[in-house]
Amino acid sequence: MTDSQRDEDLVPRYAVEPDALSDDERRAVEGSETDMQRADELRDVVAELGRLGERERVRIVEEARSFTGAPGENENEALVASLLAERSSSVPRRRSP
Amino acid sequence: MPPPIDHRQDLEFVHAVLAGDPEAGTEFAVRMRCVSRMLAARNHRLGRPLNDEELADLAQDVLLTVWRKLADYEGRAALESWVYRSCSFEFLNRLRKKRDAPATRDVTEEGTEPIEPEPPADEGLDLLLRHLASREAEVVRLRHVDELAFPEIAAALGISASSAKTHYYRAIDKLRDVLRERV
Repeated sequence: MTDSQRDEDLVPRYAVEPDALSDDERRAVEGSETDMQRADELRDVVAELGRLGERERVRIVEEARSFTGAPGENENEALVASLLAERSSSVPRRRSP
Repeated sequence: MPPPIDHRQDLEFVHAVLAGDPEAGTEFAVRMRCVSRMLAARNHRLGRPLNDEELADLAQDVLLTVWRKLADYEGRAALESWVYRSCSFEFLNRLRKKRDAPATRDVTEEGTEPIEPEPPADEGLDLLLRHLASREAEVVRLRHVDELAFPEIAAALGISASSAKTHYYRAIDKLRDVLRERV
Protein backbone atom coordinates (compact mmCIF):
# COMPACT_ATOMS: atom_id res chain seq x y z
CA MET A 1 0.00 0.00 0.00
CA THR A 2 1.38 3.41 -0.93
CA ASP A 3 1.63 6.31 1.51
CA SER A 4 -1.09 8.25 -0.26
CA GLN A 5 -3.38 5.22 -0.08
CA ARG A 6 -2.76 5.02 3.66
CA ASP A 7 -3.80 8.65 4.02
CA GLU A 8 -6.79 8.13 1.79
CA ASP A 9 -7.97 5.44 4.19
CA LEU A 10 -8.35 8.09 6.85
CA VAL A 11 -10.81 10.33 5.08
CA PRO A 12 -14.28 9.45 3.77
CA ARG A 13 -14.05 8.25 0.22
CA TYR A 14 -16.41 8.62 -2.69
CA ALA A 15 -18.01 5.33 -3.73
CA VAL A 16 -18.18 6.61 -7.30
CA GLU A 17 -16.63 9.54 -9.12
CA PRO A 18 -18.54 12.59 -7.81
CA ASP A 19 -18.64 14.28 -11.21
CA ALA A 20 -20.61 11.40 -12.68
CA LEU A 21 -23.57 12.06 -10.37
CA SER A 22 -26.22 14.73 -10.15
CA ASP A 23 -26.37 16.68 -6.89
CA ASP A 24 -29.36 14.66 -5.68
CA GLU A 25 -27.73 11.34 -6.55
CA ARG A 26 -24.53 12.42 -4.91
CA ARG A 27 -26.32 13.35 -1.70
CA ALA A 28 -28.14 9.99 -1.73
CA VAL A 29 -24.97 7.96 -2.24
CA GLU A 30 -22.48 9.90 -0.18
CA GLY A 31 -24.38 11.99 2.31
CA SER A 32 -24.55 15.76 2.42
CA GLU A 33 -22.50 18.20 0.38
CA THR A 34 -21.03 19.35 3.66
CA ASP A 35 -19.61 15.85 4.20
CA MET A 36 -18.09 15.84 0.76
CA GLN A 37 -16.66 19.31 1.17
CA ARG A 38 -15.17 18.20 4.47
CA ALA A 39 -13.58 15.15 2.83
CA ASP A 40 -12.10 17.38 0.11
CA GLU A 41 -10.71 19.76 2.71
CA LEU A 42 -9.15 16.92 4.69
CA ARG A 43 -7.49 15.66 1.54
CA ASP A 44 -6.14 19.17 0.94
CA VAL A 45 -4.71 19.24 4.49
CA VAL A 46 -3.01 15.87 3.95
CA ALA A 47 -1.56 17.12 0.66
CA GLU A 48 -0.29 20.32 2.32
CA LEU A 49 1.29 18.30 5.14
CA GLY A 50 2.96 16.12 2.52
CA ARG A 51 4.49 19.18 0.87
CA LEU A 52 5.66 20.70 4.16
CA GLY A 53 7.02 17.33 5.34
CA GLU A 54 9.07 16.93 2.17
CA ARG A 55 10.50 20.44 2.59
CA GLU A 56 11.36 19.68 6.21
CA ARG A 57 13.05 16.41 5.25
CA VAL A 58 15.24 18.15 2.70
CA ARG A 59 16.19 20.74 5.33
CA ILE A 60 17.12 18.03 7.87
CA VAL A 61 19.25 16.16 5.32
CA GLU A 62 21.03 19.42 4.47
CA GLU A 63 21.59 20.22 8.14
CA ALA A 64 23.05 16.76 8.75
CA ARG A 65 25.83 17.42 6.21
CA SER A 66 27.57 19.68 8.70
CA PHE A 67 27.96 16.82 11.21
CA THR A 68 31.24 15.61 9.77
CA GLY A 69 33.15 12.96 11.68
CA ALA A 70 29.97 11.67 13.33
CA PRO A 71 30.26 8.55 15.51
CA GLY A 72 30.30 5.43 13.34
CA GLU A 73 31.19 7.22 10.11
CA ASN A 74 34.47 5.37 9.54
CA GLU A 75 33.07 2.04 10.68
CA ASN A 76 30.21 2.49 8.23
CA GLU A 77 32.54 3.00 5.32
CA ALA A 78 34.31 -0.23 6.24
CA LEU A 79 30.97 -2.00 6.58
CA VAL A 80 29.82 -0.76 3.14
CA ALA A 81 33.09 -1.98 1.64
CA SER A 82 32.57 -5.45 3.09
CA LEU A 83 28.91 -5.55 1.98
CA LEU A 84 29.92 -4.54 -1.53
CA ALA A 85 32.71 -7.13 -1.62
CA GLU A 86 30.29 -9.79 -0.43
CA ARG A 87 27.80 -8.79 -3.11
CA SER A 88 30.31 -8.70 -5.94
CA SER A 89 31.53 -12.17 -5.02
CA SER A 90 27.96 -13.43 -5.34
CA VAL A 91 27.24 -11.60 -8.63
CA PRO A 92 27.71 -14.09 -11.51
CA ARG A 93 30.73 -13.10 -13.56
CA ARG A 94 30.54 -12.94 -17.33
CA ARG A 95 32.46 -15.69 -19.09
CA SER A 96 35.41 -14.44 -21.07
CA PRO A 97 35.06 -15.07 -24.80
CA MET B 1 -1.75 7.04 -8.77
CA PRO B 2 1.79 6.60 -7.38
CA PRO B 3 3.98 9.71 -7.30
CA PRO B 4 6.36 10.10 -10.26
CA ILE B 5 9.99 8.99 -10.18
CA ASP B 6 11.71 12.33 -9.56
CA HIS B 7 15.16 10.97 -8.84
CA ARG B 8 15.95 8.77 -11.80
CA GLN B 9 19.70 9.42 -11.49
CA ASP B 10 19.69 8.12 -7.92
CA LEU B 11 17.66 5.11 -9.02
CA GLU B 12 20.16 4.31 -11.77
CA PHE B 13 22.95 4.83 -9.28
CA VAL B 14 21.40 2.31 -6.86
CA HIS B 15 20.96 -0.20 -9.67
CA ALA B 16 24.65 0.20 -10.50
CA VAL B 17 25.58 -0.37 -6.84
CA LEU B 18 23.46 -3.51 -6.72
CA ALA B 19 24.96 -4.72 -9.99
CA GLY B 20 28.40 -4.58 -8.40
CA ASP B 21 29.76 -1.54 -10.29
CA PRO B 22 32.98 -0.71 -8.34
CA GLU B 23 32.82 3.03 -9.08
CA ALA B 24 29.22 3.24 -7.90
CA GLY B 25 30.20 1.21 -4.84
CA THR B 26 32.88 3.72 -3.89
CA GLU B 27 30.46 6.61 -4.29
CA PHE B 28 27.82 4.72 -2.31
CA ALA B 29 30.21 4.36 0.62
CA VAL B 30 30.79 8.12 0.56
CA ARG B 31 27.10 8.95 0.30
CA MET B 32 26.23 6.61 3.14
CA ARG B 33 28.22 8.82 5.50
CA CYS B 34 24.86 10.58 5.69
CA VAL B 35 23.59 7.78 7.96
CA SER B 36 25.99 8.63 10.81
CA ARG B 37 25.55 12.35 10.20
CA MET B 38 21.76 12.28 10.21
CA LEU B 39 21.77 10.23 13.40
CA ALA B 40 24.26 12.61 15.01
CA ALA B 41 22.20 15.64 13.93
CA ARG B 42 19.03 14.11 15.31
CA ASN B 43 20.76 13.16 18.54
CA HIS B 44 22.16 16.67 18.87
CA ARG B 45 18.75 18.20 18.30
CA LEU B 46 17.25 16.12 21.09
CA GLY B 47 19.94 16.97 23.65
CA ARG B 48 22.22 13.97 23.03
CA PRO B 49 20.21 11.16 24.63
CA LEU B 50 22.55 8.58 23.00
CA ASN B 51 26.29 8.48 23.65
CA ASP B 52 28.90 8.13 20.88
CA GLU B 53 29.17 4.37 21.24
CA GLU B 54 25.42 3.92 21.04
CA LEU B 55 25.29 6.20 18.00
CA ALA B 56 28.05 4.30 16.21
CA ASP B 57 26.30 1.02 16.97
CA LEU B 58 23.00 2.40 15.72
CA ALA B 59 24.62 3.73 12.54
CA GLN B 60 25.76 0.21 11.67
CA ASP B 61 22.30 -1.21 12.30
CA VAL B 62 20.71 1.46 10.10
CA LEU B 63 23.23 0.86 7.35
CA LEU B 64 22.48 -2.87 7.37
CA THR B 65 18.75 -2.09 7.19
CA VAL B 66 19.33 0.30 4.28
CA TRP B 67 21.45 -2.29 2.51
CA ARG B 68 18.80 -4.98 2.93
CA LYS B 69 16.09 -2.66 1.58
CA LEU B 70 18.16 -1.05 -1.16
CA ALA B 71 16.54 -3.10 -3.92
CA ASP B 72 13.17 -1.57 -2.88
CA TYR B 73 14.33 1.99 -3.56
CA GLU B 74 12.12 3.38 -6.32
CA GLY B 75 13.61 6.82 -6.93
CA ARG B 76 10.57 8.71 -5.63
CA ALA B 77 12.78 10.73 -3.28
CA ALA B 78 16.49 11.52 -3.23
CA LEU B 79 18.50 8.58 -1.91
CA GLU B 80 19.46 10.49 1.25
CA SER B 81 15.83 11.42 1.95
CA TRP B 82 14.87 7.78 1.54
CA VAL B 83 17.66 6.75 3.92
CA TYR B 84 16.48 9.37 6.43
CA ARG B 85 13.27 7.39 6.95
CA SER B 86 15.26 4.36 8.19
CA CYS B 87 17.47 6.60 10.33
CA SER B 88 14.47 8.17 11.95
CA PHE B 89 12.63 4.92 12.62
CA GLU B 90 15.66 3.11 14.03
CA PHE B 91 16.66 6.15 16.09
CA LEU B 92 13.23 6.43 17.70
CA ASN B 93 13.18 2.71 18.39
CA ARG B 94 16.60 2.82 20.02
CA LEU B 95 15.59 5.83 22.09
CA ARG B 96 12.43 4.15 23.19
CA LYS B 97 14.27 0.97 24.15
CA LYS B 98 16.78 2.99 26.13
CA ARG B 99 14.08 4.91 27.94
CA ASP B 100 12.06 1.79 28.63
CA ALA B 101 15.02 -0.28 29.82
CA PRO B 102 15.17 0.83 33.47
CA ALA B 103 11.46 1.52 33.66
CA THR B 104 9.37 -0.65 35.92
CA ARG B 105 6.61 1.95 36.11
CA ASP B 106 3.20 1.34 34.67
CA VAL B 107 2.76 3.73 31.77
CA THR B 108 -0.57 4.25 30.10
CA GLU B 109 -0.89 5.26 26.45
CA GLU B 110 -1.85 8.82 27.18
CA GLY B 111 0.68 9.09 29.97
CA THR B 112 3.68 8.10 27.84
CA GLU B 113 6.27 10.84 27.64
CA PRO B 114 6.57 12.47 24.25
CA ILE B 115 9.55 10.97 22.45
CA GLU B 116 10.53 13.97 20.42
CA PRO B 117 10.46 17.48 21.90
CA GLU B 118 11.41 19.17 18.63
CA PRO B 119 12.44 22.80 19.05
CA PRO B 120 9.81 25.14 17.62
CA ALA B 121 10.56 27.02 14.41
CA ASP B 122 8.93 30.10 13.02
CA GLU B 123 8.01 28.76 9.65
CA GLY B 124 6.53 25.89 7.68
CA LEU B 125 5.40 22.75 9.37
CA ASP B 126 6.35 23.74 12.91
CA LEU B 127 4.21 26.84 12.72
CA LEU B 128 1.25 24.73 11.68
CA LEU B 129 1.89 22.10 14.33
CA ARG B 130 1.65 24.68 17.11
CA HIS B 131 -2.10 24.49 16.70
CA LEU B 132 -2.08 20.87 17.85
CA ALA B 133 -1.72 18.99 21.13
CA SER B 134 1.82 17.63 21.53
CA ARG B 135 0.89 14.00 20.79
CA GLU B 136 -1.06 14.99 17.69
CA ALA B 137 1.84 17.11 16.43
CA GLU B 138 4.21 14.23 17.11
CA VAL B 139 2.10 11.81 15.06
CA VAL B 140 1.81 14.28 12.16
CA ARG B 141 5.55 14.87 12.20
CA LEU B 142 6.34 11.15 12.24
CA ARG B 143 3.84 10.59 9.45
CA HIS B 144 4.83 13.42 7.11
CA VAL B 145 8.46 14.24 7.89
CA ASP B 146 9.72 10.81 8.86
CA GLU B 147 7.26 9.09 6.51
CA LEU B 148 6.49 6.34 8.97
CA ALA B 149 3.50 4.06 8.50
CA PHE B 150 0.93 3.96 11.31
CA PRO B 151 2.17 0.66 12.78
CA GLU B 152 5.68 2.18 12.88
CA ILE B 153 4.41 5.36 14.51
CA ALA B 154 2.56 3.23 17.03
CA ALA B 155 5.73 1.25 17.79
CA ALA B 156 7.82 4.40 18.14
CA LEU B 157 5.37 6.08 20.51
CA GLY B 158 4.29 2.98 22.41
CA ILE B 159 0.65 3.36 21.48
CA SER B 160 -1.71 1.26 19.38
CA ALA B 161 -1.95 1.81 15.61
CA SER B 162 -5.62 2.76 15.95
CA SER B 163 -4.71 5.31 18.60
CA ALA B 164 -2.06 6.74 16.25
CA LYS B 165 -4.70 7.04 13.54
CA THR B 166 -7.11 8.73 15.93
CA HIS B 167 -4.50 11.33 16.88
CA TYR B 168 -3.74 11.86 13.20
CA TYR B 169 -7.36 12.20 12.18
CA ARG B 170 -8.02 14.64 15.01
CA ALA B 171 -4.94 16.61 13.95
CA ILE B 172 -5.90 16.97 10.30
CA ASP B 173 -9.42 17.93 11.35
CA LYS B 174 -7.99 20.76 13.49
CA LEU B 175 -5.58 21.82 10.75
CA ARG B 176 -8.45 21.94 8.30
CA ASP B 177 -9.96 24.76 10.39
CA VAL B 178 -6.58 26.48 10.69
CA LEU B 179 -5.95 26.38 6.94
CA ARG B 180 -9.51 27.49 6.18
CA GLU B 181 -9.04 30.55 8.37
CA ARG B 182 -5.86 31.41 6.48
CA VAL B 183 -7.63 31.51 3.11
